[in-house]
Amino acid sequence: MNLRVGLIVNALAGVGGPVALRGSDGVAAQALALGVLPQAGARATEALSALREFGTELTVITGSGSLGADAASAAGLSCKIVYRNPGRGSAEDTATLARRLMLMQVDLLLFAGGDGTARDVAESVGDSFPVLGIPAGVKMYSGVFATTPSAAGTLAVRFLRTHTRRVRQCEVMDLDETDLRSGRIEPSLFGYVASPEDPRLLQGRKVRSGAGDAVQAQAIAASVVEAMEPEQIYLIGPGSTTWVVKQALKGQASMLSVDAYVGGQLVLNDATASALLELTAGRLARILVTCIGGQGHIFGRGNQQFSAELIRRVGRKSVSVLATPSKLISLAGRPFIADMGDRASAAEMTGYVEVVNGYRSKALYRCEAF
Amino acid sequence: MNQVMHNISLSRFTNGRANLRRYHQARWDEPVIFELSQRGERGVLVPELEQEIAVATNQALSGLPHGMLRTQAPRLPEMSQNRVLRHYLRLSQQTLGADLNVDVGQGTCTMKYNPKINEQLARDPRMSELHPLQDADTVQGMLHIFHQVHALMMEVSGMDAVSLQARSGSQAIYGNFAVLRAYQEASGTYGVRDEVITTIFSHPSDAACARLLGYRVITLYPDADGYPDLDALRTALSPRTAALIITNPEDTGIFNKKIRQFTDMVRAAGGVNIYDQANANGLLGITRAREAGFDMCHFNLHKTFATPHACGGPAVGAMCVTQELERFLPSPKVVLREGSYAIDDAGPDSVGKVSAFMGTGSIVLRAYAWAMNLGAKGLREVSEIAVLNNNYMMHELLKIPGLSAPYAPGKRRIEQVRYSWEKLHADTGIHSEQIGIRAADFGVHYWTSHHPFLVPEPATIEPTESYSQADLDEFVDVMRHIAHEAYTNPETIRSAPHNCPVHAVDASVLDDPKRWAITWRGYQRKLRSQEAKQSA
Amino acid sequence: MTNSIDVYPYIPNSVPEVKARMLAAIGANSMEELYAEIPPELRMQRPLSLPEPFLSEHRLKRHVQSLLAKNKSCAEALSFLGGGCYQHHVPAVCDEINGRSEFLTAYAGEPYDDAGRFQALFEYASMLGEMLEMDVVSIPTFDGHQAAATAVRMAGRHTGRKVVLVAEHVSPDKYSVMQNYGRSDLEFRRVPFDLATGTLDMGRLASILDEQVACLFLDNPSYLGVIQDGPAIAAAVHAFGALLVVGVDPSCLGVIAPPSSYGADIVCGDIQSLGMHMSYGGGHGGFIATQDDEALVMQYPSRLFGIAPTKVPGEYGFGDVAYSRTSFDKRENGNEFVGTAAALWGITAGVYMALMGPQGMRDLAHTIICRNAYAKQQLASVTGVRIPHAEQVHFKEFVVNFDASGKSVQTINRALLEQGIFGGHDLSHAFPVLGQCALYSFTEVHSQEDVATLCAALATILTK
Repeated sequence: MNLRVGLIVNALAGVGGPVALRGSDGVAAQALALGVLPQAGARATEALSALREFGTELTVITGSGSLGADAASAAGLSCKIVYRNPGRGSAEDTATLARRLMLMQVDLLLFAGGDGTARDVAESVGDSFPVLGIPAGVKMYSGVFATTPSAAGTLAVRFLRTHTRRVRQCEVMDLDETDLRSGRIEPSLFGYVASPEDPRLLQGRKVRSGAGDAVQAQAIAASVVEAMEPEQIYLIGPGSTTWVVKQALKGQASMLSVDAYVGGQLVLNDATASALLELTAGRLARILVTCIGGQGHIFGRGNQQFSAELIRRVGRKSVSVLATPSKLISLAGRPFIADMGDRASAAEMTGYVEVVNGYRSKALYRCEAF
Repeated sequence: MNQVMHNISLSRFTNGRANLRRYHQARWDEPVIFELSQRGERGVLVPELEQEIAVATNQALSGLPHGMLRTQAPRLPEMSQNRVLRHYLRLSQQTLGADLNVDVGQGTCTMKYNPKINEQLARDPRMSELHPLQDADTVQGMLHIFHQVHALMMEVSGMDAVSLQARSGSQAIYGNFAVLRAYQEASGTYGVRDEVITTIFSHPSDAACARLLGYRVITLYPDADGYPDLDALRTALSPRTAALIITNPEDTGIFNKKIRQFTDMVRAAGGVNIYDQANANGLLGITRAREAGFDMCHFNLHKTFATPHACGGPAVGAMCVTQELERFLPSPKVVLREGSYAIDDAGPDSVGKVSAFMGTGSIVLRAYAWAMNLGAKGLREVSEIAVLNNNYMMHELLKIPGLSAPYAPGKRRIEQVRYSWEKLHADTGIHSEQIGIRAADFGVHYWTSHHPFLVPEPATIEPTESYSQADLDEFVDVMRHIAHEAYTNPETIRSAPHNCPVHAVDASVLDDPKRWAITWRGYQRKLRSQEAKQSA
Repeated sequence: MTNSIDVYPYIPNSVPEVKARMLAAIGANSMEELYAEIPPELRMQRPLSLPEPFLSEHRLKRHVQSLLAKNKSCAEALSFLGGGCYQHHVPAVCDEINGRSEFLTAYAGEPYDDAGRFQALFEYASMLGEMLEMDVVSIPTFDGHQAAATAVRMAGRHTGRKVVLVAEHVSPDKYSVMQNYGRSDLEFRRVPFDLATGTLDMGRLASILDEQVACLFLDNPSYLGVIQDGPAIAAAVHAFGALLVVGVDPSCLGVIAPPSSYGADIVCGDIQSLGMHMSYGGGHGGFIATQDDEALVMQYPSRLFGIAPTKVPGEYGFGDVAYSRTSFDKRENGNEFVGTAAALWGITAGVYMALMGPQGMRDLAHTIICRNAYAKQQLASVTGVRIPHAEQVHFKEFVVNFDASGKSVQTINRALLEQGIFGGHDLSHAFPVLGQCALYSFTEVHSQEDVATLCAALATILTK
């Protein structure tokens, strides 16, 4: 067993938080000047110490100094440096190191940071190999983060120990920090990365094995496609589970777009809000969306093309959420959220929504709207 | 030489409470049985053929079709009798049966005492040497017992008819769905009403059996208090509703007060109500399926009615239905006619067979003996003490830092509780499953929960009526000790088990088709092929 | 004498002082308070109406024994009943092991504290695997009928086809179980057997087979005891890309070729014959076996135990293989369902096979075949008796026809019963085409003298 774990520490992650800067992108110097001590390195060390049990069988591959080598050494792990950089980390450092780690074919990429770091990582590596976030930032909307640094360590150990290396697709979300600081909240979906499955949901003896969520997503897609009415318009939102449905239908769509289908055929690719309104005027339509893991948003995050007017027109009973049972459970009892910014559509979406969660299998789940 | 007499027990107690046991399970390091084989040894001999038969039948195999004669003897181990016995005795010692431990940790399984007298009676040749196709006249005692256990189930459930053919709780769930299908076929609604509603806390078999019989499944999630969500049920009901299948209390141990509203709504919508009564141990003589508005239910005789779990069967699931559904029950049925018992075909509407013959007769006898020893008052005592033990245990366990009992704070639970180590996990990174494994180092164990884990880091504890207060305290002390370890020395937990017959298993091979081995011959074959590749 | 007590031997905390102490500890005033969550309208307003209990162990024992005395068992009578449940000698060590508290009362522990249970069941699967010459054997299912029902569903999932052919000479009960279990997803069609030979009608099989067929299921030896031409049947089925699913009684395999040797893809059956008492149907357990083909392994709903290394060199560990297949992992999205079935009988069957060894299993199958051949010869010479498939090789049982006697099986069996003999199982309802026939079973426990007793009794009854 020769394990190679990639590590990226965004040393400046989180420094904006304590001084209410709501993020650290571009304002690190300001925060450091205010006397904030960076914590990301220590958090990375806390997570990495769990990997000590692999002894000499594990090597950390990382960048020099605060980019990772310091944290790895502090955790007592041997490391190999593939990127030397003289200064404090920046978004470029994260991206460069991530690309090199991808070329090195590491077993798992660990990064310590926040949503901004997740975004930089996702843009560099896509969903090609497993990534796990050690929470160290101010904003952590993305599903790629473990709940605590030590939970990240535990999860990494379990993942590396299993043969099947079960992963799930996780959303990478970010808020634009400039907007955030001026009080506007508009989080967006930036993409997906592959991340180890959460052991809280699928644990130990009963976990290992199989293709997990991927198989369930296939079952969900099969059920959805089988039930499609020939005349109806299907508006399918972005997401990894809806992507499986799109792949089963005809036409070139993408994982991040809203696409419209009739009779199993793509009729509108990467649709805008106004295009959707135009297409559905006077016709029966059904909306298929996923929910943001851990957060529960079904509208208003990464799929703003579904406008308040469209949702009023289509109605709650014609909305299906495609989500595996583990995704529902990750909400810990919190309802779905439809963030519409419109009173009438909010009223329409308040109530129970159909969730397709397997083959010929569904759940009913509460939705609340704002 | 010191002549003082030691009070040994002084160092076994602290403040009047027993210290943790210095336990270690048997560890025989026993080989796999094939490694014990010695060519030529025999364990038991087959009665020899009489000379006359041998002569008369020396051509007996000559009529076999070509290719139907075995060419190679099976490579079974060859062992003398006492060596076989010793091997299996050692394996038995490496198994933590309920008789040996304070087995309150296997929640939902109702690990109660299985009285030895019932075992003795079930092994009487007048039970064990009965063939299931014997003439009814020769099994009147057995049929009386079936008939009486039917009556017992009817009284405990309030239902009108019973079948004991199912060989487990899950098979009874399946059997009840088969009854539902037959009922729907007779009324022309099969395929029209095709949705079964269940809850995420219900046993996985509830949803799985519905699917098996062609139904679509709708799952309800709990509301904020942990109850199945009544509003969600209202939304789920439609002209496609075939049935509701639900447990009460669910695995949280919280009794659903609104259960009658649930069943009324389902009935009003034209659906059938099915009660999974695997969790019945706290309810005998307290509340019944009928009053709660159910049309069908089932009991697990190996749980509530004290028959042994036997490493996972044999067992019996009692299917109980209302008069309206009686004609759909499995065939055959036992009837009392003119003072004697007969075995009748159940008629054209019956679902037919759900298992071979009349099910597991010897388990039915054990349950009968158990109930006949306790009577009505005793059964109620069983339930009351099971509930008392559970609430006492919850009270004591919740004093442990890091452990909680999600939902319905302050309310009494029925027979079990699903706890959560969420806080302990957040604080220490230790998982519930690791705590369960570490507990085995102290001679107890527990089970987490069915999947998916709705309650994070779950542990499901069901004390039943069979354990004393001191037993319960001992289990709590083990949990307290391990929780303390999680905060102070988590490595001991991570590397557990330490006192079991074997150490942590490399589970990765169990999911790898190239390395998994489900039999010894499969293992040998894969090893050989690996060696061949390495030498090539 | 009072028939009411407060303290129950099985309920430690029924002691009133203890009860009071525990109630006080949790701040409850009464037992009633603990049931506060149950609405009054759902509470039972009267005590359960049950017979008076037998509170002492002695009285209970006498009572149950008085009921058992109303049974007449096969140990007292001379029984020729078979048809899926068989009277065999059960070695004493089998009873010793399955009576051990540790095995008898264990349930769902981990592979650590229940290491012995996992190993014993792995060894069971391994020894049965040797008998079957197959690398994958499941943990026991409920019974052989269930094993057949699951096996054909596995074949359906594996092939993606929906039609299941079932031979007409399988046990009617087994067919009922299979159909009940499978018909929501599968379409069942029957393949007749040849009345003259008691074997599968190959001509009809060829005309029914097509590319919609997922599998053919048949028992070999059949329900009527006949050993059929496995290789020919396998060739016909495989020509259409269908799977061959064979039910087999493992106790014949010391002499008879295992179905895998003639190409069976899934093999199933019942293990009652491997060391279980009949117990009025309580001794059954089923097995399912295949070769180690990943695609087929993933179709099992049952648990499969595998061998694995532990962190200590040289130490065997065990655990669940590919657990994600099961409903335990995936609820309604898993394969069928899984739960308690017949694990103790799996362990016992392992003990049985280890005791018997290769020579014992060979002796057993051989003696049974010879005793059936001998019984056929002897019965054929009784006036009024005909053996329809006499020229075939039979294992454990064969059809006996009484048409020539002008008497019904029911009448004959009633008369035999009066002489303390349980005649063969009456087939005249399930197989009317066979006429007044019964299925007579002979195992290693039936001596030459027993056969003579039967023949003499029949001779008297049939000529009356």
